[in-house]
Amino acid sequence: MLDAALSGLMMVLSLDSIMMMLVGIMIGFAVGILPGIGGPTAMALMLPFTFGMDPVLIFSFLLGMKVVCSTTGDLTSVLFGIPGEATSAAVVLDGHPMARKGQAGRALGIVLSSSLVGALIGACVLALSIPIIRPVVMMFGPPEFFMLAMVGLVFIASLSGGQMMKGLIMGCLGLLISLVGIDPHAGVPRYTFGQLDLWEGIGLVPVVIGLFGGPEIFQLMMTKNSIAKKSTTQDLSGVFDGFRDTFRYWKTTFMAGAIGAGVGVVPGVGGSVAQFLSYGYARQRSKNPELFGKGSPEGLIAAAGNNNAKDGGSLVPTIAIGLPGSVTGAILLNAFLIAGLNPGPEMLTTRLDVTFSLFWIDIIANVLVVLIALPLLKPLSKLTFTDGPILVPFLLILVVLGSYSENNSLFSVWIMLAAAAFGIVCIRWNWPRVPLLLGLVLGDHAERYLFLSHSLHGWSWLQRPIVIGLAIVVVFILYSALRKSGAKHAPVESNA
Amino acid sequence: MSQAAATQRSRTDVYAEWAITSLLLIMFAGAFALSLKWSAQTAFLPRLLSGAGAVLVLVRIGGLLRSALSHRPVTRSAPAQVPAAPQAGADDEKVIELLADVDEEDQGNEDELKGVFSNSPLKLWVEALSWLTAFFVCFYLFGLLLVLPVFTVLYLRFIAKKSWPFCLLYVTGTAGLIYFLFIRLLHLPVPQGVFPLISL
Repeated sequence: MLDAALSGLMMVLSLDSIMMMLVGIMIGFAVGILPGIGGPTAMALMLPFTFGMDPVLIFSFLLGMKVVCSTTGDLTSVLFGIPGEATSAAVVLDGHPMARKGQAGRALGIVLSSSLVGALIGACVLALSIPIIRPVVMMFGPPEFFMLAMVGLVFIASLSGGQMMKGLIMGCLGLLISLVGIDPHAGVPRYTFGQLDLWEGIGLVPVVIGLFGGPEIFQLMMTKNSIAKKSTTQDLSGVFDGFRDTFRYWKTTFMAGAIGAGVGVVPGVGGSVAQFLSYGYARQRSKNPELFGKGSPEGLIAAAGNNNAKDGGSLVPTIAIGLPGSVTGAILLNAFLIAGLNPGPEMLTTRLDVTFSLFWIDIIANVLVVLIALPLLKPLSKLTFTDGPILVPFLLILVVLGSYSENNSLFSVWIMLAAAAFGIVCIRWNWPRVPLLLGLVLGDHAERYLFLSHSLHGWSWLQRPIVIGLAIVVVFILYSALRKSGAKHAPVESNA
Repeated sequence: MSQAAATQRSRTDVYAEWAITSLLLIMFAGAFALSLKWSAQTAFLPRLLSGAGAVLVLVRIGGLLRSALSHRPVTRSAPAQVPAAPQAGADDEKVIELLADVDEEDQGNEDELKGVFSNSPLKLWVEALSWLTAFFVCFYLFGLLLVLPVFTVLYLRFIAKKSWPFCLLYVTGTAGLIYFLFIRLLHLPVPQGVFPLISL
């Protein structure tokens, strides 16, 4: 195994491989900074260019692109409050408030360093789990996926910003919105009102961009101020403060990486779920949960640290059993076939060196992304001190293109506009937005796997050991959230 | 802020809270009613969620009614949370830093945005909404390739008060970036509009 690992490293360290990685990183950087066009889109569009390439070169190119897209998606979340990808939505919650306080450099430092640490954790999970992953992945089926969605949903209770009732209502609304479209089981259109555009459901990307980015742009148009009003750290030392934060809150960093890698390993549960699992859990166990959503470095680490870890984790089922854990995994599966590789036993025996090369590419690409992004952080953080009206036209075009790119339809742009208006109403009258998003993200998973569980196992799926274990976790999280909520409100009630 | 203005704002908030809650009730009830036409399997989750949502909204309406009858403020905004006072010991530095992050003037993004949306005069709302409406109407009619230079130049010139050369440089940079990334590199379509005057 050690020989295979070393051989994989040698293949990755070749000049051709590093050059392809750099090309992938450059393309990914440019594409990732645009909201809505995420890594999977860029990878899918670049896939035809990989025909005839050596396997390691293909993976250097595609993985380099994917890695940088995850990170740059977080950058726009921090700087403008516009999530670059649906998987970057949670980064807005604390990253953008930090930018508004003049701590964009620190926030970007946290994003880069926690992403790197998370990626290292994901890569280690990939390397260590290769020999044992097959039976582990096979233990997970629709019932377990459904329970994972339920674990995510109970975080609605703790992400309601102290307004549990409103949070639950918004969570229900988000879940209901996720049901719009063709029922996947019976093929019946639900809540489509005769609109063909609604048959595919309401896309996550336009909603995320509108709900979070829309109000930010609108307030820039009204106040005409810069995003940040005062600078606490105007030089690059802010970035290094962010690096220090990542290691100061090492438990949160590690937890975010572990959750990202863990969720990535389980096929069918996406990064959108992982970010909220990580953020919700971090808030639950934090000593300062009240700072979450107001620019807490800990919250930002929890949100940013899992994204790249998930990429490493999602490679595991793709390699081991040919079961893609995400859209990225599905595209990589295509790349395997283009390169003439058969995922499964072959990748774990005769082509183990290629498998290990993926591990090294994941690590090296992440390190390169940090090194390339580092000199860009200062000019990027200065954008937050630019006058709002200068940014408005560019941001408007970004959000329009980001929403439109989801399925090349004007309808997505109108969805984004509606979400933006709803976001403004939510902010103005204290209705929490995160539970709505959580419901929207998890509703589809929950319904699909609930019916699959029932179809495959009847009600006996409730007796499966992992399901019972996850049910205990759900009860524990709910109990903990309700207890904290009760404790927090007790003095308020007595004063009222 | 005068007492009268504060009372007026509080009354507006009360009406808005009632309006939002009622609208949500109508939405959940409507969703439930629509689901009655579907088969049990298709309607299972829609009924469960719309029913649960409607019950939660009714509980909230009960709370609003109770508050109205007892003449207490209807919406108790989540109080601005400030971390506990620093405790002596090794954690002092950390707590002081966290306190510095959330000072009284700057209670976080959500509160700041709420302040903007609550306190801005009508004129600013009308101005921002007019620009947005113009942008999206032109975008729908003529597509992004026309609205990009026209809106950008007008907005930068009249709102940002920037010079013509700056506007032209800005437009060239933005259009160049969009052209290179979307059209040349990714071969993605850009929105054309109903009457596309410019197409690539």
